[in-house]
Amino acid sequence: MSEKGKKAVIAARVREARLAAGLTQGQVARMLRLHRPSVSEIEGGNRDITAQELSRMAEIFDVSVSWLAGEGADKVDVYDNKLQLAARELQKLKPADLERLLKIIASMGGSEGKKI
Amino acid sequence: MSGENTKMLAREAMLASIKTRDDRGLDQVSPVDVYALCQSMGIKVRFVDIGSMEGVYGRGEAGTVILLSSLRPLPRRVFTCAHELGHHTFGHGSKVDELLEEALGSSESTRKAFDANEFLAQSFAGFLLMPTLGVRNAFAGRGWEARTASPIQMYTVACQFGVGYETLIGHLRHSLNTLSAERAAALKQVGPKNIRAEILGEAVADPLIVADERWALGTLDAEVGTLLLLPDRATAENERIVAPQANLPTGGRLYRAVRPGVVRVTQQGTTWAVFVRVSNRQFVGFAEYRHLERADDDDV
Repeated sequence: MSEKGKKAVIAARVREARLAAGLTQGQVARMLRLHRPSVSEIEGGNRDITAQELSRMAEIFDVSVSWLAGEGADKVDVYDNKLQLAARELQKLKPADLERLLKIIASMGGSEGKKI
Repeated sequence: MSGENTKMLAREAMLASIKTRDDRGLDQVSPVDVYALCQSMGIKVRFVDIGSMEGVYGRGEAGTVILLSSLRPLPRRVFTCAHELGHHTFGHGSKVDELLEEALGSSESTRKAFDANEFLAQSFAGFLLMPTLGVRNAFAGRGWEARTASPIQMYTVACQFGVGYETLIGHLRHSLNTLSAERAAALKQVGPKNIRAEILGEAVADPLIVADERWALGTLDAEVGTLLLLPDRATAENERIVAPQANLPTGGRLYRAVRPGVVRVTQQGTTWAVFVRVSNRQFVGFAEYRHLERADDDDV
């Protein structure tokens, strides 16, 4: 992947993870002690993100650094032996919602890159 | 499940709920902030805007998570969170492919094990959120009796524990054996909508939380749009909540939550005080971020 393409993937994942965490750009900027436009520029793919910022963002958004950096599977592997789930009325979950759920779970995890 | 088996599971759930409170240094009487409890146990709680699910519990190499549908009413989210915490406590969980198979009811034995787990988690949630002594005290402290309580009294106590009106009735009827079947049915017949109309003098669709002078938790969770019936002379220290009208004829002061953030509310002339924590309506994100303040230009 080109540098430009990689930056775009990171930008998209930062935005996706921030929204999923329930934070505004302003709130993230305050947590990282950045100016708000910096977060906006990162999400727009117009500013490089430092390794330290990436690591701190992964912590704040509770995603793995590797996922935030555009690596790792987009969706959880249903045959993953280490992942255990409990859910009631799963049969009522619409297929599209199940897809979303598995995507959310795939993104989550500690900064070491382990999945929940 | 047989009646005897059900009783045994309910007792197991009750004992586990007592131990959970005990392990975290919580008493067996007060209402509990279930999200803070999960956080103290290292469990991430996250709200997702998926409408066709209630909640999911998951654990893996890097940690444990509870996912809750943000599209359910606040009390339902609280109860589902406690239910998922029950799964955690009992070590429930299946591999994803197995879970999908269970959900489709592949075999009778799988189905039965699944039902027993669900019953355990459900009973655990009831006892954790509405401990026997706490429920008894909540009625007695107000000079009420659970077995004869009026719908408004029942609603007030349900708000106190952060659960739905019908959830409290179900717990009193089935787990605590305090309500007769007839009384439980009569109370359910009235319904929260009619109770809100009686309290407010008009039919309103918005959720209403009643926090009277005996409110036992230092915090009160609401979301934008929630109505809060607080004691007379209750005064908010900022405008996260506003009072659209003067005191109600039936007593109490009605507020509406309007902005995310935290506001301290006190009652003039008394020591009554509570932190009202307001989140956006149907907040999506981690529980710990739900009440964060937002700047005026923080809209994305």
